[in-house]
Amino acid sequence: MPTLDDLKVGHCALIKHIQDPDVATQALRMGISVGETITCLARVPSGPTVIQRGGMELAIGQALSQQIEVELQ
Amino acid sequence: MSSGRATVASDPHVCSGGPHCSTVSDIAIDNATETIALAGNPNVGKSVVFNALTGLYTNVSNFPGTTVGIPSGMMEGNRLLKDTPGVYGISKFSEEEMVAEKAILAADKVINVMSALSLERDIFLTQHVIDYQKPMVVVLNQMDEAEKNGVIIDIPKLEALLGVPVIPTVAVTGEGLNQIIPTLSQARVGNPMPDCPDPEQLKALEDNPVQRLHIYGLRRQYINALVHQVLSNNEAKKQTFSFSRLLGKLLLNPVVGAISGLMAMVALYQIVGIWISVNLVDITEKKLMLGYIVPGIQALFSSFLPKTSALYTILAGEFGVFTMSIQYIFGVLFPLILGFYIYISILEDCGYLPRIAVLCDGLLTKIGLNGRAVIPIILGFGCVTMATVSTRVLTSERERTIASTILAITIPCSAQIAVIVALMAMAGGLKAWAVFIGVLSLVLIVMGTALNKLLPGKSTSLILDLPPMRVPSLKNIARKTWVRTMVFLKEASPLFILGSLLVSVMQVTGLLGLSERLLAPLTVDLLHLPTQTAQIFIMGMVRRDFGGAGLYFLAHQLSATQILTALITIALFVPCIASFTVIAKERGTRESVMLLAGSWLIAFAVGALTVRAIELSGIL
Repeated sequence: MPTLDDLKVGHCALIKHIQDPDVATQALRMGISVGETITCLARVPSGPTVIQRGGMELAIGQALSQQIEVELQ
Repeated sequence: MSSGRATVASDPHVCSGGPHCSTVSDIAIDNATETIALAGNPNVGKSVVFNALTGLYTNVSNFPGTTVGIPSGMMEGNRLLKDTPGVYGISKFSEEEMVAEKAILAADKVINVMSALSLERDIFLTQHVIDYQKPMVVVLNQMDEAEKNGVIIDIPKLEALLGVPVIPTVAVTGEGLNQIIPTLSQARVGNPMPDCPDPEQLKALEDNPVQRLHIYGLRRQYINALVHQVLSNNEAKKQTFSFSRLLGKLLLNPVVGAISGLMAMVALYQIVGIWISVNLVDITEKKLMLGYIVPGIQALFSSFLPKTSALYTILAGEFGVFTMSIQYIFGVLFPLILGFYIYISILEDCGYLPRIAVLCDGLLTKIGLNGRAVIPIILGFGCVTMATVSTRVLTSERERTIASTILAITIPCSAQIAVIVALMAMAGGLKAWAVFIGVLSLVLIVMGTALNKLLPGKSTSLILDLPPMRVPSLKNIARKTWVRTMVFLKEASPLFILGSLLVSVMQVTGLLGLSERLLAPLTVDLLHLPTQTAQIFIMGMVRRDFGGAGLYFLAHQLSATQILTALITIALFVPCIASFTVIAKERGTRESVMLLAGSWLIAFAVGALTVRAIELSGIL
């Protein structure tokens, strides 16, 4: 399954599963949970993925983004 | 509105000697009728609310985690208001979260600041505190920006659903802030989420990571439904094109980001390295200090002390307590630090720093850090002491150890920049710069990589909220610069005076000469430097820039290779007394002693290797 790290700028994706419980916990607080749709706003090659949800922009490091499984919309 | 009297205070657990550590008088705290914690996510305008309520200028920041320590102040009605670090939740994911949790749970009431722009995110903390049954008032800030973006919030409904008073505000203009104090008496325990256990049980459950995830999931579900009922968007008003968003996005593009980052560095070098440290310091130090103030002080002392006496040398001689320290603090350091902090405050306030953090994340991951560490590292170029305290923004102990080590050893502070710039010109300009930067970067990379491999555990990954880009506010910049500069002067001045006292006593008693001879094997044999360079190493321990300055006075007797070697060795050499004290407090005795020994070893080893490499290659 593709992860957040596979997204390209402009992609929309549905969050399917987050492997690490700590990551899932932190994401929940930020308003990112399984079943939400996010947009990829920017990519740093072999670095963080910047996603947008509502009015919020969030940068997620590569090690984390590889753990967040998504479904392309 | 403001009761005026306020100081920055502290919790012994939080403020281990950090900068914001003066205390609200104990009597004031004893007399306080109640304790109120100010809580909220980063970048919601919490500090502005704090200032409005207490009259104190705290450090307002557009980057999460730059408030260090817990500022407290007295507010109307004899209430003690405690500001807490901006956090996304109270889940013990970082030291800041623990600090915030402790302050929130210990308070009688909570003022929770939310941003109308990020209601969905901010409300998680709000509901969390409600679930802990703390009497609360919600301040819904940034209403103006929300309106501009077409966000409509049904405030009466939000109030009803949360079960606590909600005050809409625009903190930057002060709108609505005068409602906070009158509303405090109506603070109440809100509506906990359905089937929420009582606070003690809840806390026990949330201490277990698996249970916590489950509870957080339920809470998120509950508040998402809640937000859905109160939040609507006025599509017509919604800006389709926002310059701030576009700029923010553009700066995250690797190419644009690299170019703008480079430009920012060149600008910093030009402003701090050339305009201030060469041009301005030329006026403040040479013309003002050496032209008027220092001769004035010397004349004053010579009126009652013979110029040849030991006491005169100690008090008003070349390294005198009243001459060298005043000349240095006000002639050199003050303009430098001021300029540096103004520059950093601008970058911080406009929202550029977090974007640099995102771009650097990939590189920093390789040395066991993440993007967040750019803050301490950039601050380190200003003053390593302050920067060491700010490593608290990092999530794990492992990252804090790596960052503190890198700061103490490889980052030259702004006080050194002036002498480095001047000495580089003598040592061959561009080529010397290339060697200097190359050697320091190499040490940084090797050391970081080694620590990342050797230290147990693993470092955390970046999760960073990017605030919108905005035009920096003059008021914020002035405030931040002022607080930081004052803290720096308060922290540095006594150590400076102590340092000059030490050096002049050593000079008078002949210890300076003795130590020069004792250090000769290191300076002469290992580094191929003349004997008298030993004094620059001794002075470098007092303050790093003392070393550089000492070198400057000796420079005319040295070759280009010798200048460069000495400069690299001093740059890597022990942190100054001030930062060492802070490292010892922040990182503990064992780690600080290892760091001290390590820095000596690395400095002399790298210095010895560099001098031989330069001599062999004949590069200079």
